[in-house]
Amino acid sequence: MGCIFSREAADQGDIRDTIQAREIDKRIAQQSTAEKKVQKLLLLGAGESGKSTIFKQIKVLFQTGFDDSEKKNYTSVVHANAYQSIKILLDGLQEFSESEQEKYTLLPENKAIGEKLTEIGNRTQQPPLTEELAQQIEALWKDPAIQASYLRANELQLPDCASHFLNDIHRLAQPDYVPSKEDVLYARVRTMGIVETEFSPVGETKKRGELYRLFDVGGQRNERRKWIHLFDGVTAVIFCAALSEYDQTLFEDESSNRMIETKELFEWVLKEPTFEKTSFLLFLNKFDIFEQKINKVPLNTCEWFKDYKPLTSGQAEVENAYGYVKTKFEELYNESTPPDQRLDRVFKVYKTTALDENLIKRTFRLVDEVLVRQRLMDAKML
Amino acid sequence: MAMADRLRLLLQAAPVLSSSGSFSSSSSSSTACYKEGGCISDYVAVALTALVSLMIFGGSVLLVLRRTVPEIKAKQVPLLLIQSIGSIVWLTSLLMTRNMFKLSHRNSFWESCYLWQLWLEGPFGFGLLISCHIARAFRLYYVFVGRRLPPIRSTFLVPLLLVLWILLSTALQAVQPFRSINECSARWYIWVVIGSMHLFYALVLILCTWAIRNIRFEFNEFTELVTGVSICLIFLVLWIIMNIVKQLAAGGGRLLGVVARFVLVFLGNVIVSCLFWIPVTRPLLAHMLHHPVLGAGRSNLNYDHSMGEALGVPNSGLLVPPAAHISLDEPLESLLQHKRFRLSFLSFAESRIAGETVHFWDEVRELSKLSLTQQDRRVYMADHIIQKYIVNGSQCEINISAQMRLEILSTNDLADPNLFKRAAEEAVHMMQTNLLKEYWQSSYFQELKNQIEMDMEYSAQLERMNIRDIPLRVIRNRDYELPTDNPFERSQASSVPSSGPLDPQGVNLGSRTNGNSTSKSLDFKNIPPWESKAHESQSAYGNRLSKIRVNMDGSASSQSRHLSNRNRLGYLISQRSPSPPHHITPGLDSYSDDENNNKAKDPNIITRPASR
Repeated sequence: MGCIFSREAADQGDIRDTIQAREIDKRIAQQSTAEKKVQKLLLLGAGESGKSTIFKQIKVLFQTGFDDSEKKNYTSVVHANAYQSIKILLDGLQEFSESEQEKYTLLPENKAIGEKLTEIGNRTQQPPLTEELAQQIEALWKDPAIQASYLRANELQLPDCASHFLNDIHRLAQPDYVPSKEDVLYARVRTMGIVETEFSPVGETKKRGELYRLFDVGGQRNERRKWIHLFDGVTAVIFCAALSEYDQTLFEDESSNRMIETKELFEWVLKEPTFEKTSFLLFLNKFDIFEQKINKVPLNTCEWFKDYKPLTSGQAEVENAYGYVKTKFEELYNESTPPDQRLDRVFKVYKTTALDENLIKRTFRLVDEVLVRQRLMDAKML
Repeated sequence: MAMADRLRLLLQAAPVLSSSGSFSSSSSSSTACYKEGGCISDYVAVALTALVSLMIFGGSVLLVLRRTVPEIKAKQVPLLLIQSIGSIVWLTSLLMTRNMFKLSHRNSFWESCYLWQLWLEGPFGFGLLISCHIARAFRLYYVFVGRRLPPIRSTFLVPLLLVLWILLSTALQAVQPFRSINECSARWYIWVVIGSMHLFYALVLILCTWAIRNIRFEFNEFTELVTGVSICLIFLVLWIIMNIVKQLAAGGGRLLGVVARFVLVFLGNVIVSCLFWIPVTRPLLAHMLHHPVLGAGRSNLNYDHSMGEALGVPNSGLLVPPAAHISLDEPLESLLQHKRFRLSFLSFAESRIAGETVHFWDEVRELSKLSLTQQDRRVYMADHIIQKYIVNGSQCEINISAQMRLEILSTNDLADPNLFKRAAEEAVHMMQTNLLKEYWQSSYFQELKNQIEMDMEYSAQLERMNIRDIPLRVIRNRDYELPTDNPFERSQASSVPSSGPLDPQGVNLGSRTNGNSTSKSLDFKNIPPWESKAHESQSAYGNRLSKIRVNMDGSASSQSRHLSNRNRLGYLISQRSPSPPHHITPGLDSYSDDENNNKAKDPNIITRPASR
């Protein structure tokens, strides 16, 4: 580099070059430390919005996945979900039969089974699912009263995995049953406290990318008090909102609508001062259930969506309704964010079904791009 | 002096039988001081009031600082605070309405008799004072006699109770009974009305106290209420007598008037002091006397004990069966019965910010230890659990469904042994599904295993040295019961050994693992220093110290390791071999060295994040 200069100038040039070289080295070092810095991601959302399912998907997609012994650990959870589901439906019968006696009464041959399963569902240590029990559960599940109760499941606190497990109860009762990956994702456990994991999304060239530290939390009201421990230095908040919950009530307060609760929670999280520069990624989750529900239960049963007018029906209607909900959330974002802040932080909405591995993988690719871009923008600004 | 003339004229015109009395043209010193205040007795009265008010204020501050102590919490601190405000207001109004001050701006609002006599002395002074007691009696009645939760919170009940008096004051204000805005003189029937209001409230208090007469209260609320009521009554009777005497001796009444108002203020101070201090003296003193320096810093003897301890729940379940008999394949519920396991599991849960469920389960367990005959204690404990864990927005609210919460809150029997059964089962279920698997892989479990192994090793060494009886340790472990005559079992079942018999540091160390110490501290509030670096050196398995982190990518490999560890411990436990495992060197010296290291790095009490 210093060939063309004169000797004296060459010395100076050398010095200049060394300084320049040092500057470049320093900037490279800064960049690589910035790259090695762990990005903090939070999974927030109301109860049963799909946060823990996303957390499990991360394990499946970017970590070692679930091996057989871990899957076996979920057997008791799956069985417990099955028992709980049928018990909740039976309790629902009690409630509903007060108004409409005939429709919600079990067939005489199923009454004894009903009592037995209610009692089992109440225990902490539940018996293993035998073939006999599976038959009885199946008999109940096929009972017209239970099916009628299932149609009003939105008034009960029935987990979304109920039909998946109850339809398949014989498979679950096999003596050598090991939950499939799907079963593990469907299994419902109410998260308590804070769980953490680290992962690195694998890039296109199979090179490991950014290092993310992901935190999963409980969504019920008492759990939200614990979120405050996590609010510092967050790169991005993945806010999960279940699309299908617009006609359901809260687990912890049966007088509040779930969608309204999600709306208020989203507002609260957006206005949190520590999140001024945090990216917000809204996962509008449970799209599969939403698809099924939208044609049966109109969207305007929810207070927030009351000025929605269905235009068509079928698949076009689904897209229409989804577009409307997305617009409502975007409006909410704009209301809760002062205009000058809207430039600072990124807000993206994604349509997700947390159970769908490929969809989540693609979504995370997009998320990764967004976050990398954001981080480089921040780095340049620094 | 022009004002005095004006007043004289006014008062001469009216056949008044009030505290201002009749006038004579001669302004003797007693007249002057009687009319305008400034007698020596007045100064004394003011000083006394100021002193009493300050003491009450100081007492309130102390109460607020110590409001988590169960004995003080049972007195309902918010009510006590309202009561102290009412007391101070009442005392001041007693002063202001008796013409004790030589006031220059007699027409200002702040010296208005309406303000002081009608409002501040009535509803917001005496009324507030008595209403607090009525509210307390009401709550006690509901909880202990009715065994249900009261429909209204006590602090909301107080304004309701005052409504009646406020209505009366409004009515009187409209009638304008006082001659002038600054002279507290009115017709005698106005005074009768006001006096009867005082009496009415006192009567309501008597009724409420009488309703709870049969309950035996743990924290002496009934005796205190009775004392308060009787003092009130005595005061009121004396007040009436005083007023009557004053009216009767109207002629030579000046000196009597001065004396009367001093006695009134004095009595007011006495009653207020008694009402405030009688309930809180004992618990506050008991609490403060145990601190080496009053309130300054935290001592090793931790007096923030739990409700269970305050109610005398027996602190058993630790040593019987001894730690060596823990089989790790038991279901979680029976594992949690062992104190060491419970403490270790609790620390793990708190590192995952999920500790409230374990605390709840533990307090329900303590409740179940209270026998069914001790109904009042059960009610206290149940009420405490509900206020702390169940009520919406409570400090340690647990994650249960709305239905379960409603069931508990709308119960008809707070002493029901099955009140929290379903919630406790749900808590166990949540602990099993959320925490248990990661607990086995955590450093907390490693530490527990190490402790158990060290215990076994130590007791094996003692056996080899033929040391059978360790009476000093028995002295320290007050709750220890000698299960058998087998010296091996006995020594094994005792605490982690410490360097000296009555070394206070040793006490602390002992309290780390089994919680027994000379102080009656509740163990699970002392976080054992699992987080300290000391145990890293001791841990023979060399696990990574990640407290919150659940490394899912590493779990597959550590799973097999953890299984073999469990089996290993099972082997150790079942064999109970006296020969030491290879990694712990024999000999007492090296052992006590390790243990000294441990002590040296033992941090002081760590404050927990936010589960309070």
